[in-house]
Amino acid sequence: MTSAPATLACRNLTKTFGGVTALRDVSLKVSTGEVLGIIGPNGSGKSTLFNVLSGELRPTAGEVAWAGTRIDGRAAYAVASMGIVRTYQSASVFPALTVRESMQFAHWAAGTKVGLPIDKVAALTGLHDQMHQHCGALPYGYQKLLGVALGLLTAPRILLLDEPAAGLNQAEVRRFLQLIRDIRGVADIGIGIIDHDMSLVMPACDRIAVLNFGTLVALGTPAEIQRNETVLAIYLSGDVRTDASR
Amino acid sequence: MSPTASTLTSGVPAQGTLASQSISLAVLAAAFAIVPAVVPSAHLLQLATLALIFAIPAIGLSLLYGEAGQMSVANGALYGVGAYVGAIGAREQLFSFWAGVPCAAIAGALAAFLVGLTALRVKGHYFLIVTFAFAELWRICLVNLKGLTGGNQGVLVLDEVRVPGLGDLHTLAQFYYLALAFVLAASFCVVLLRFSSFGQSLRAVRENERLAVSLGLNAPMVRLAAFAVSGALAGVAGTLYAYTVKHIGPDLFGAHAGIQLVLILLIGGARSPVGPIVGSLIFFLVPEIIALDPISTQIVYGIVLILIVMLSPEGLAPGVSRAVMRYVRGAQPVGTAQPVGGPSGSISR
Repeated sequence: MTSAPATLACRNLTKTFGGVTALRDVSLKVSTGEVLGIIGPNGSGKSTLFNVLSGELRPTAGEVAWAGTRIDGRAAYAVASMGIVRTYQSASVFPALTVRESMQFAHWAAGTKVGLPIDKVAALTGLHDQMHQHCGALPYGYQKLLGVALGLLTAPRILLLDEPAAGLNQAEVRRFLQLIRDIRGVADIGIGIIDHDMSLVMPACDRIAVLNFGTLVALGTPAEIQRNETVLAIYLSGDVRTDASR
Repeated sequence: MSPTASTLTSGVPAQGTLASQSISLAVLAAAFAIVPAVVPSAHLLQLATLALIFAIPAIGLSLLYGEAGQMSVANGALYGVGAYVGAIGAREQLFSFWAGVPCAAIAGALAAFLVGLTALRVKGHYFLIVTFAFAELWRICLVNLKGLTGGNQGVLVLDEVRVPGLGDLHTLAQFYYLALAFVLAASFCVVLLRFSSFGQSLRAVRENERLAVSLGLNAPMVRLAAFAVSGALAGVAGTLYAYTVKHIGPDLFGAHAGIQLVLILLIGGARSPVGPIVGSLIFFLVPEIIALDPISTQIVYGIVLILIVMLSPEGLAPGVSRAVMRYVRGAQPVGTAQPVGGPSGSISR
């Protein structure tokens, strides 16, 4: 279960879309065994960061490295099969497949990597009673859990969760928090979480990175971030799109 | 759709299981085995044989379209690749029928692979357009490469199909059974693939390609593999056609043939093993039975297709089997028919 820690790192990452700079000179690391939170207002570049890390987008400048090997420019499937797996902001499932079929697919996609068995992941994510349902018919909260379950079944080393709590009620958020703790208990993986919900991010994360207008403005423990004046200014001043209380 | 019908599928295609699809194939085989004994005319038996042969490329395409969700109109041309490989091989005395079949399979798969390399860049409608272009290119090449293909005259196949224990095949019924054997083998291959992890990944690509890729699947490569398999089956059928009809020409294998295969799948259903076979039989036999001229036939096809797409979008085979199941279930005592934990009726998309 425990192997030598490996690190997913980006250095001086910049991503522009035409005239818009979505990421500017961002350097960040997440290692196996730790949970890194990424917060920031809407449009601050969080999802773009995940898209670049997971190989869906190529960086305009800078580089991404996994365990010392450069991986930017590799195809998204290749990055995923190296163990860097992401989930999507809006629930993303295989609508006409059943939960079990999707899980079998994800398990198969893991190839020779040894991951958690399907039944264990189903129990962990609380989907064991939904196994025969079609994914398209699942309630939204379950679809988001399924996204994490599918990611887990590919035996990832780094799991990037894009707004796992968005659209969930408080009970579901608490359950998600417990899920992240449970995952840490059974698998040696690093987790990156983008979210606006501080009741999830603060207790779940070891470190938190704050993005604003594509720039990394703060990085520290949850306690440090809560006291950081720049962060407070971003989230509390009226002139910035603040949706942290959503 | 009535509530009882929605408890079965709710718009989600009835996939069945490996066992249920194998059983439906076995039932179909048994039903088709008695056809030569009961068919009223040799002409109808000939048509049924041609329908069975043409069902094979449709069966291959059902893997690509039914599972991976990718349509192609190049499979008529791939069928032609197999036909020309078999026919030219016979003309040049390079190989017999039984050696021609694997050669045609390889040639069909290779041709599909080359065409499908574009599939690494385009998909959906764009890929469909690319396949259309390749199909016409193939037909034009057949017409113009006269030295090899005989141009518009085509190629005559003078060799016989020799079956161990039977000798050379001569009668219509023998060719009918040969075609039936190939149809069943092709269907069974596709059923096995459908329920393999490969089939599972094709469905994952169809349902949500971005998610499948994010889980580590090389989606374009998987689509390409499915296309190559469909090309191999089309190639096999082409050689079978060449040896059955004894003459092939370029007009049989352009985009038009590819569109006919698509029609067959839309009529019969692409996700059931019997769908392509039933679709092909309807396609070949209905115009004959109702005895219409070619133009009226086209009109009838158009109207029938619109009706099928509106009334049973998954094709006739799943629609009919569902109606039969509903009837059977309706006749059974309450409580024995409904599987527990099956697809619920609450799916709303």
